[in-house]
Amino acid sequence: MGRYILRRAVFGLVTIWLVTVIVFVGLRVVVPIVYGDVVDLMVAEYAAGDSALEEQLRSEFGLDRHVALQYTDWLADLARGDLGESLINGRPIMNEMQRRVPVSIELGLIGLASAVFLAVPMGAVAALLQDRWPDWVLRVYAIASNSVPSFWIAILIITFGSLWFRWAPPIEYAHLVDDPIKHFKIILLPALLIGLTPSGGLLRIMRTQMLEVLRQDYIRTARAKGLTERTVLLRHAMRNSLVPIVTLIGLTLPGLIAGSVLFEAIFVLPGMGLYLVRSTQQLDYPVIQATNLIFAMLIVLANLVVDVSYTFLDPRIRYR
Amino acid sequence: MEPNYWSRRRLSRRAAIRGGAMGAFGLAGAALIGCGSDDDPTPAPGGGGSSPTATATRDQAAENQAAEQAGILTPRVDTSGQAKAGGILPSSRTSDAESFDALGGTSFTSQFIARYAYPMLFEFIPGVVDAPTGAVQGQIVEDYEQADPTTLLLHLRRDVKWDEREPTSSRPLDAEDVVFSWNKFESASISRRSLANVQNPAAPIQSMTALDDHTVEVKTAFPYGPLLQALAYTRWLQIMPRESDGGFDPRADMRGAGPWMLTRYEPSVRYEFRKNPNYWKAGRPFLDGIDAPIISEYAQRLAQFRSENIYGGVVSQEDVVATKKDIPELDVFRGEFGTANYKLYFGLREGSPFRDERVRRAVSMLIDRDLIIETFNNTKEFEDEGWPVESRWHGIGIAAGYDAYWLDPQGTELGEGAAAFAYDPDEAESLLTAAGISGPLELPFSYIATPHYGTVFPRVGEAYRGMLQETGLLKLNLRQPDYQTEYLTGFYFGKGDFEGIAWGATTTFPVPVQHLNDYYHSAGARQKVAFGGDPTTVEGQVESDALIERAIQSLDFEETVSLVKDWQRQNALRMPDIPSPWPGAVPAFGLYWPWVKNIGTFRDYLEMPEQTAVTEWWLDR
Repeated sequence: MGRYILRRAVFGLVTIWLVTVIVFVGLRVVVPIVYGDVVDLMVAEYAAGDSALEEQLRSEFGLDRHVALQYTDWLADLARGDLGESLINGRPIMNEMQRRVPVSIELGLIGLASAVFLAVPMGAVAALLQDRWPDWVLRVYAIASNSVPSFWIAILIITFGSLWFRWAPPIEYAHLVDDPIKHFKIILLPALLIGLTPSGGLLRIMRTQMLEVLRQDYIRTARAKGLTERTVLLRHAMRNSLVPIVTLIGLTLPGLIAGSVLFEAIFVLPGMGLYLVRSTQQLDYPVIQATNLIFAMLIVLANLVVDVSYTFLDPRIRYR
Repeated sequence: MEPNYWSRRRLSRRAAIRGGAMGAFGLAGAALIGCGSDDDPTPAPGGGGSSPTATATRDQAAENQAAEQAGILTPRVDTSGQAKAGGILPSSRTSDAESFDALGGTSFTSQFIARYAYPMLFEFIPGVVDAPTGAVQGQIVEDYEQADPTTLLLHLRRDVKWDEREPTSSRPLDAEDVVFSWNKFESASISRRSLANVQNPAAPIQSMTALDDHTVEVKTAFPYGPLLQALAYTRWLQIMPRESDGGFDPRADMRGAGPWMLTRYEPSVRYEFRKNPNYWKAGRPFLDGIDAPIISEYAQRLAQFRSENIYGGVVSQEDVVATKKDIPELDVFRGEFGTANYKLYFGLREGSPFRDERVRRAVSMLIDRDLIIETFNNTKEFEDEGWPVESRWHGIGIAAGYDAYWLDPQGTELGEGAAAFAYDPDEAESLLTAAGISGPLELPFSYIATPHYGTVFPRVGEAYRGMLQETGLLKLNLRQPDYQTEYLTGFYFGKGDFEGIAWGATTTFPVPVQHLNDYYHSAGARQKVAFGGDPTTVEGQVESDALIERAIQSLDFEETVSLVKDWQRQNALRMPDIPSPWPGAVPAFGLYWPWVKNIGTFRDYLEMPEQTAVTEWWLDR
């Protein structure tokens, strides 16, 4: 197992390195050819034709140097733990990441946890009561939560909250360490709403898996041995149904973390999604590179954790 | 023909165009970006723009009075005498500033935020009860003298101190700070080509020199009428301390001498400004500070306003009536006519039909301006509710908000050129026939589909296209260029080097003559009226250039106004481009909680809410 994890970690590092190369070359070589570079964007609207200013800015940002040199400099800074500064406002990216990454991870984790806590029991109940009215209700919920965008539900809650009760969600963000109560007051609603969409998919998978598992021979054997229904369901049926759920969780988590941009905008949360979107609009190279690096690391890590967790859920799985 | 608003729905023209507008309203929550617009699409309490020597017409004044009596509009009353100092104003912004560097920043949003803290040489005088006139007064300049037509001497106030925090540590502002700021503007500002002669021979200012600690000499390359207004214009020369060069990072922090200090900024979360104890105006500001969370989503801003967490300036026009009905205690103020001048403009390559002024005029006569105004300003709803609505048509090059300069296309002063603004498809057909065009004229019609000019903009474009095709005289093939790579270079800065008709926005300048110079002089940086900058390619352009040059160089205000009016008369029939009646043709209504006093009374000029007039606001709660 230890060797397996080590091997996966090395592959993970190579993957992350490849991501950095692709992002770097894409941003600094391909995009300027087909679209224009960050300086073109800066001057396009207000200072078009001011070639001296463009030259001055490119020199200031180091964009007049060979792209390979720019990359090795970036790697060297990265090795020292320095993600660089934003080209637009000069703020150190590491400071921003320290502030934003926990918010995004927290949003994603709470969202996912709420989805799992809703979907797993509901999926199990739907399977146990197959084709009876609770099953139909839960299946309608699953389809609805998958079909209706949760940001739209967020806007409805805000709009009707203010129309009917003159209520609006708190928007003055407080960090967890500074004021935990205030922090959870602002983050819980968006986090729970983020979990709404994945809960539908998880519910359907859980229901399908449970239906399949409940028809397996070993379940019949467990019942024949005289085990209680509770033990049969919790220890044998549900546990074996969870393997694909864990896979789905692994695939969903990075998306939740990276894709919470609409919720960050609606609820005024300083997460990574808005940071990435804004920096992409502005072609702020170092910020885009840094956020992609973080996302690549999260995805690699999530996949590794998922693969390792299989061994705990299914004793037949062994890694060498 | 491709389906459009008219054909695909088989609705009446009015209903059909309204369909476009309502679609736009549905998207109102999306962010507004670009064109130097402030990040807040809602009007300032004094309005989203005003005009030199603005005076409400008598009809408008009577209508306002009736509306006030009917309890719709809130009377504008100066309550400064009863003002209680203190309190924090909960406000909001819709986006982060890219930087706080007023002179080196690469976006106008930087300058809007920086203006909270940094002073300027001059300032536009806020209107008190009445609309602001566009007149300027010294801000850190105590006195000035025009030594000769190209030399202006500025005498600085002696009681202006920089921020008490390090590194400025309450140091007195002096002439070297002004020279430092000018040098930085000249070398690094994105607007330097508008003002710095060393960067652009058509720009006026040659140099700024400190004659002593409190005297600055400004030399211009030629007599330049709007110099004081230029020095009061937020987007141009804000004054920064010398310490911003190494003493602190001006991109991330501010050390100003204006009414506010930036005390907290958390990106994507909020700004906090607090009263500057060093501010030279005694007893001002009344407020202790302004808190501005950054809320990009309209539904959230509206909810926060309704819940009393934001005190005003957020309600879109389509929600104003419903919100006021729901919360009757809200104050309602009506703003001014707009100074933005959006245009339909023409490709002028050799062989283009638009080199013939009759064709340009014909296109103008296919536009039903009142229908566009009604549809995209929600005016019917206001009228049905008895709210006082007045509309104007923007003139050639001069938006309706510039009262002193504007010639009403529906009035008599414009002369025979007024006919070119009337909706008259029959006359348009005659003009096209006279120009040798028979059958539908098939052309590209280009505008950006992305929300760089707001979410309503593309809908207006679609409405124009449908309207222009309605008679069958034009067949317009839709093109939607990418904003950065195609539109700006190929159309906006294209100097007529494109095919067909384009629909676009323009930058607002503090005085309209600067707008004429930039957009209508053949050497103007943003001109769209003379192919490649050659005035001989289009008939009447040489005469137009001459009038603009005389107007911008005149130091006599009345003469400038007269020349600008002559220019409008000369160009109405020429129709070098077509002024769009949207936006700004109808003053917007703003809603505010009633405990913010003076908010409708002190009215800032142009795009400066919460920066000059806000020093007079106070909280009665």
